[in-house]
Amino acid sequence: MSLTFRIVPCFTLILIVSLCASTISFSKEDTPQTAEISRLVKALKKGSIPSRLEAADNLASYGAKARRAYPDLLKAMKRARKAEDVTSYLSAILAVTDDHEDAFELFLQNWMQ
Amino acid sequence: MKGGKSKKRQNMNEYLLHLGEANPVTDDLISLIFHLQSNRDIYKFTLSKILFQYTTERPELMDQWLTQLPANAEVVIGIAENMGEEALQFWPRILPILEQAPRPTLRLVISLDDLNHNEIVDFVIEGYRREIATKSLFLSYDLKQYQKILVKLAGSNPDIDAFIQLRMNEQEFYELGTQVITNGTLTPSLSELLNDTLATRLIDTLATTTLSPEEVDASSANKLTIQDSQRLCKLIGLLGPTSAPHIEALMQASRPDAPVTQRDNCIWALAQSKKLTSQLQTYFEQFLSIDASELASAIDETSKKIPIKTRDDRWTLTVVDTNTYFKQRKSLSQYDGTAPDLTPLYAAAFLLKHDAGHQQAQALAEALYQADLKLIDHDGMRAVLSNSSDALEKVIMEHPTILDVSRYGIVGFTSHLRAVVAWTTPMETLASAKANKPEELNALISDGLASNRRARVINTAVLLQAMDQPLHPDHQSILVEKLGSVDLRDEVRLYLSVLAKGAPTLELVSVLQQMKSETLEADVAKTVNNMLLHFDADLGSEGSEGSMGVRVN
Repeated sequence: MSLTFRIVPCFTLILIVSLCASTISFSKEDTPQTAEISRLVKALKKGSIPSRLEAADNLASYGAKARRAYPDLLKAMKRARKAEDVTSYLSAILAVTDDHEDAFELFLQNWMQ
Repeated sequence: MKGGKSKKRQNMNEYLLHLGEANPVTDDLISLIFHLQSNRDIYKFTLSKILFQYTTERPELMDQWLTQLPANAEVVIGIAENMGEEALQFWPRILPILEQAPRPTLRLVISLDDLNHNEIVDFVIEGYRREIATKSLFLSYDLKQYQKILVKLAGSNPDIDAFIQLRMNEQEFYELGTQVITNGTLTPSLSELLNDTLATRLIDTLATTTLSPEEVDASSANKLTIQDSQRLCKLIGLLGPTSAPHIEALMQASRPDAPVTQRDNCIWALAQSKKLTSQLQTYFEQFLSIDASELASAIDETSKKIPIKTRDDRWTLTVVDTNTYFKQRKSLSQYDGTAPDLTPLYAAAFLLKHDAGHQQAQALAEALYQADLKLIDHDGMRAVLSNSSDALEKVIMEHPTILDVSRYGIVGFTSHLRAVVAWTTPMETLASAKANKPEELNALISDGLASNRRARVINTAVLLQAMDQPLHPDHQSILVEKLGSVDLRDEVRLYLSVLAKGAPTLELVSVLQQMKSETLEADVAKTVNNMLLHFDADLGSEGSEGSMGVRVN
């Protein structure tokens, strides 16, 4: 009896923890929107210039939901040489976050060169 | 170094312009632009363009610009300029800052289709007056822009001209009037007002000095007066003298002891009268008793003095602007001094135009025709030579109705032709006399076209071009023959324009096809192609038999 009483709560606890973990994992990985944003961020990091620009445009359409792309957008903006490309990344940054200070500074730095 | 800095600044502005494409237009983005306003490297144009682009995204922003930017009027007007007609809704609010940014405002006003707003008229008139007062000696860019708008305004509203006149003094109105006459559309009331102003001014000008031919060379002041009188006569002529004071002024300006070039223009102006009054008849008849051969030798003498320049055996035109080319001025003044007196020709032309049966005028016209004067019609020269010289083209564009030979051009021809430009020719004058006798007129035209004198053929072609009737088969045959054997490429355009009124005969079509296979200048090739297509369509619509087996390749 005593062993049974000790094993049941342990199993229950494990079951509950694993259920919670799987729920969290499922909600995080399996939303198509999140998956798409991840794919776009990846394109932003490793894609060619046209695919980076396309990714930035697409990320902008997600608005604040693509907030996590901000650091990579900033990096892409830093790497860009053409004014129109810089503007595309800036537009995406304006769309995904309210924090524009660094982006503006970057734009002006490029402009001064 | 300065160039490098300027280039860098330009590049920076071009770069910054892309900021206008940033979207969404957030408040801090706008703040950034406001912040940039203080940077002296940024053009106002750049800021206006960026802010305009933001306004298209967020129209409510215009209100913000108008509130926040009164101190930076140039930028606000620049935004409005980009908006075009849309800006009119903000006009009352833009108005207080217009004077702070006249040049962008000018550009804005020029871009508008609808100018009939009191504020715009006020702004333009005041700006024009200011320019006249400060820069009367030079036609500044702004003055030209103001004139351009006023010319547009004067033709757009029947009431505006009187309003314009009320606001201007006599000099300002005169300056504007000359622009309107040559470049604009005249309303009847403006035409009348201008005619009075010009006639008064002509009388005043004539009264300032005695104008004998000897004094012309003696004093440059006199020369200026003559040029002014010539100009006034031409302007009155273009308007068409309508009242007794205009006629009186012109008669005084064209009196026998006046310099020849002045007489030439003033008589021409007089001949633009719409009616043949007994006063005018008596006046013109006094010039009819001359010896045609004397006039012919005078013209000959003048034509010999025309400087000749040749290039590739083509006609070459030397356009001389006395203001620019001092070296050429001497030859111009020689030409001025020896210009033949064409008064008898103009007198006969006027009398025959109004009374084809005027016997004395008929006789003179016949004699002048037989004397084979070396004259080329003013319109003929334009038609033939306009493609030969960019410079002439420019002069014609600037002065579409006034081509003042004595001031702007001396025509230098190759050995094929030397001629003096005239307002009318014996061919045209004689044609007026035969206006009611179609057979005689046709014979005259055939004779003119068949002539081996180049000027005469050109003058006849110009006459045919102006006639409002289909081309006579005989005339067409002669012209087709000329076109086929033409080594005078400049006339081709003129002949083609006349032949376009003709029938698609086998001869004409084959000459055109022959031309098509040759190397032609682009505009001539286009005309030939169009004519062939047009003729082919005509023939096609008449049935397949009618196409004479000729096909356009």
